[in-house]
Amino acid sequence: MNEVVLPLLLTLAYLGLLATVAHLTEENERLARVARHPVAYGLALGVYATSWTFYGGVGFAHRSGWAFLAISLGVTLSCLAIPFLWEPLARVLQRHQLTSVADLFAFRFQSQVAGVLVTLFMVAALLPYLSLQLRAIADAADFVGNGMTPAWMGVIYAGALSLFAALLGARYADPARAGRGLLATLALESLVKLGCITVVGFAALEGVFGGLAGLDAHLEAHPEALERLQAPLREGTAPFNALLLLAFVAAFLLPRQFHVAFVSKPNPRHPRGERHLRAAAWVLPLFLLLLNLPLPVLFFAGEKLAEAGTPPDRFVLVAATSPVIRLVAFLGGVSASSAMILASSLALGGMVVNHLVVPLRGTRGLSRPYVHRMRQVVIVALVAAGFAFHVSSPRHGTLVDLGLVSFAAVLQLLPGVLASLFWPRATREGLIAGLLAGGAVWLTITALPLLGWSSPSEAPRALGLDVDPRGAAVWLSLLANGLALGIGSLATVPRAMEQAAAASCANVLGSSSRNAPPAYPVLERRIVAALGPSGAATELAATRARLEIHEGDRSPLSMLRLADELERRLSALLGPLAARRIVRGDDAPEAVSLVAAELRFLRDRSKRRSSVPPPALEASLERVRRYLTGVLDELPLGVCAVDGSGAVAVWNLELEELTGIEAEAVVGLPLEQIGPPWADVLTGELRGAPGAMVRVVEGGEHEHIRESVLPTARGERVLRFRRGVLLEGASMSDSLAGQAGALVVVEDLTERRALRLQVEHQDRLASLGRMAAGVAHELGNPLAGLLMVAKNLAREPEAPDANERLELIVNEGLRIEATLRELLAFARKEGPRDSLELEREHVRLEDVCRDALRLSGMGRRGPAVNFNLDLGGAGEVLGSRRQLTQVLVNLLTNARHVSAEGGAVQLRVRPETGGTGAGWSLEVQDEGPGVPASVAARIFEPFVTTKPVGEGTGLGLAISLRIVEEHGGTLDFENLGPSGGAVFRVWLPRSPAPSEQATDGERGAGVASERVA
Amino acid sequence: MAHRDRAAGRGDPQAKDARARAALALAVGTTLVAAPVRALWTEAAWWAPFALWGLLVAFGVITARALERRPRA
Repeated sequence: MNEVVLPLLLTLAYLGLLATVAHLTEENERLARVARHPVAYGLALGVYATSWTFYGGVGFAHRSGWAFLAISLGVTLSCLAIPFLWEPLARVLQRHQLTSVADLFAFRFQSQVAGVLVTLFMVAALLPYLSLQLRAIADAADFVGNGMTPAWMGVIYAGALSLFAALLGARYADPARAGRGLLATLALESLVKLGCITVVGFAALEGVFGGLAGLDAHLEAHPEALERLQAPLREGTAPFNALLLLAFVAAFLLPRQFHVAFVSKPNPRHPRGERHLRAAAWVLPLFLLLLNLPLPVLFFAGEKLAEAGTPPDRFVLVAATSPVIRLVAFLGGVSASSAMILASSLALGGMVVNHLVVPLRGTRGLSRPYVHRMRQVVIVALVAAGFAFHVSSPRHGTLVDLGLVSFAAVLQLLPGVLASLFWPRATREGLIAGLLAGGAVWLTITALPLLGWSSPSEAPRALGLDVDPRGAAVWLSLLANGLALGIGSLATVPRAMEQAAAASCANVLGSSSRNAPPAYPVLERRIVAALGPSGAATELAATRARLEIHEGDRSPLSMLRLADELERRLSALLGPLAARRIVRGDDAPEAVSLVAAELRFLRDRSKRRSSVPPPALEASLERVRRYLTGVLDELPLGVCAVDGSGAVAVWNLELEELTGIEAEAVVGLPLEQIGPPWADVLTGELRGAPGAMVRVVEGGEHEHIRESVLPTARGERVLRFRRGVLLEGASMSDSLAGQAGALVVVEDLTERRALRLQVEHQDRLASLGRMAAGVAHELGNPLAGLLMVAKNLAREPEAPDANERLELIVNEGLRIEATLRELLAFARKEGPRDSLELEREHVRLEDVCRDALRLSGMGRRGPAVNFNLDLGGAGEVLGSRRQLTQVLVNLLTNARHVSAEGGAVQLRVRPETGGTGAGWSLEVQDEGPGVPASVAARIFEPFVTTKPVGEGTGLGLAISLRIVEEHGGTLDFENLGPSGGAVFRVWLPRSPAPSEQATDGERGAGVASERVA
Repeated sequence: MAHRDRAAGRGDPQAKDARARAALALAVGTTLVAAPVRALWTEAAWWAPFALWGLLVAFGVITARALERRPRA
């Protein structure tokens, strides 16, 4: 009785242990870390080895020799292909939150039919496989019980395993909880499987053969045992290559493998996420190698010990000679079966809900808990169906036959998966044609014989092929599938949505085009319609929290992110098509590309990613983006750029500091929403309309420069705004074409302006100082002389030259008076221009020149010179004849003073266009040494002179400059070069209403020239 | 075509390098289990296939490590 009850108790205890480990892993962070380790992930993928490998491997070896290894060697080869097959697939699945091959096909080909077809196909393939596991355990229990186990105990075992899978599977129906608990359970099961088979293998080696030497001796004595393994391959009777291909594909496309490899894989955002697949590349093959290593030993032991007629699938149990080892062998089988049932039912449960239940039922009222309950029901139903198949199915074929039916069905997914990843031209019609063609061959050659409806070898023979039916099924179905997919795709045209999905699957960058986001009320309405008010509120709140979007944020970028993330979340729950329908409604798939969204997306992702190596091109682009962002941030100018939609795309560091607004807060927002006063200022600036606070200082049609004093984060600042338009670039890629935007550059002029004012102020002070010194000098000299003479006169009132001394006093007094008068005159010119206004009249320049020459010639001081008057053209100006004469007298007197005795001074009048229009140029040219460089810059300042002390006050040129400026003219000078001489040039604007005389004067231009001595 | 290659990261030398190593590993692995070498199985000791398989796994480990160490793009 013990032999009957013990295995059952052991099974129940083991399943209880698994459930406890799963629970603890979910609760305990340290265990969770272990479960997330890449090696644990690789071991969890060992769910590939089911009771088919555990018991059936030896049976398979008995029939096909070494070909049984192909079932594991194919996985090893598949693992070598991880970098260019598994990883691209993992990226696509992760990006679109796809949880099964059916999801992948439904998304890539935008076809619910494809999803339904794959789901039905997989369910059909799974039932025999589930049944296989249950049958293996029932058989093992019967063997361990020495044949005393009643038939109904098989039902108990099957029921217990089904219940375990259903309960634990249902627990993991929520993808959010599935990860670590499931991985921990499966990894533990792999270790148990490996431990059990190793123990049984060693026990057989020692117990049956007495060690390796004994085994060698046995094989020498019984060469037929080894021959049985070698002959099938040598004679080519085993379909080795076909098995290799089946295992290669099954390693990642069997529903349970797919689920563990891609859906339960720790999040790739986790720093070590990408390491998991790389670790699996060697952990899984190593695990399978170790698992298979004892099988030949068990095969030889089983052959030696088994009675005639014992099914080879039982050799593992036969080889276990002691009851304890037999229990260990039984436990290994239970472990292999329970892991498979758990993972398979979980994987298929999601598929069935997404692609059979939801499309039939519709998406209305689908809350998350409701969907989870639905999954639980489906998982239980699937296991129950497997059990029913086990009870009712005819016991045709071995364990291997049952397994190969499933593998051959999974092979039909390969062409579609490859097309999804690498052939954007593939269409849904092609996919469906391929699946149907491959499925038909599979059904005819593999599945129907299993059900006893036809003989295994009939179909290939019907086609005229004398080959192994298993190998034929593989190659023929794959050929039919691939051809139909290729021809069907080339014969049809992919739809727009298919093309978009294909591009997204093939393009690793992926984010360049998105659908336009729906407005928030529309989005909310759709989610509420699908999930109900509370479900919708929960989903929206969770999505907003995850994206850190606050509730009132309705910006286009936030809506875009919200819709994308909601679609991803719902895709994981309900499948990609239902999710799209809920979020996008029946919107046309109009792709928009927002530069702001792209930049934000890249920045967010580069922040999230720490050590996950990105694809190389993406990494290059990211480096360029960071470099350019660095350049923008180093600029001492604020830069704000908006994209074609009006959202802020660039907001550099200087602008952050100036406005106190971080780029994080505004990038992606419409410019109008960034907050006062910057929203108004920048928006007004971009529209080219002067805002209330901004005044135009320069500008044309294409460039606008404005200045303004604004309150900023640095206090009140003087800012200059410059607007530019980003033109549509012909060289841009299609997705960016038409995304013209605009740019505002903000320059902080505050320091520069303050510096300029300071320099001007200091200049004035210096000028005032020089003027004071000049005044002191001009008044001090005569005053000193005057005082000295007066004192002497006071001491000697009767001196004989008293009169001369008195005359000297009077002269010095007059000199002081003259200086003061000139000073007053200068001061008066500084004041209002009333005097000039009163004197304004039409003045003939010829008269002015002649007056000036006459007065200059009268002076007694200075050398005698020749004044030459050249009236090349002299008209009229509006002004004061007296003052203009004074100007010319000053210039002519200066020229005379610097000239040598008998030298010449030229006075020329010419028409000349100046800064404000037509006018007259009056030039006084001398032959003196020129203006010394030391005073050239200050020559027009008061009291600056080159004359000897007492001969000039230094006010003449200063007064002249004032007068000329009051007449709207200019006064400057030029040294004529090494030969000496200087020319002072007065430019005066032409009189606005020239009189008749002026016309006469002009008429005489170039003729009137005379010499005045 | 070239544009699509670049978009898919297929034109990148580092990615090409990684894929080339993996493809080489697959080619060698396939050769190990394919006909010429497999013929050895049919004559050699019972553990010979496992020795070959061990080589294959070692090759997988080396490839995985090489891919791990490749410069982060």
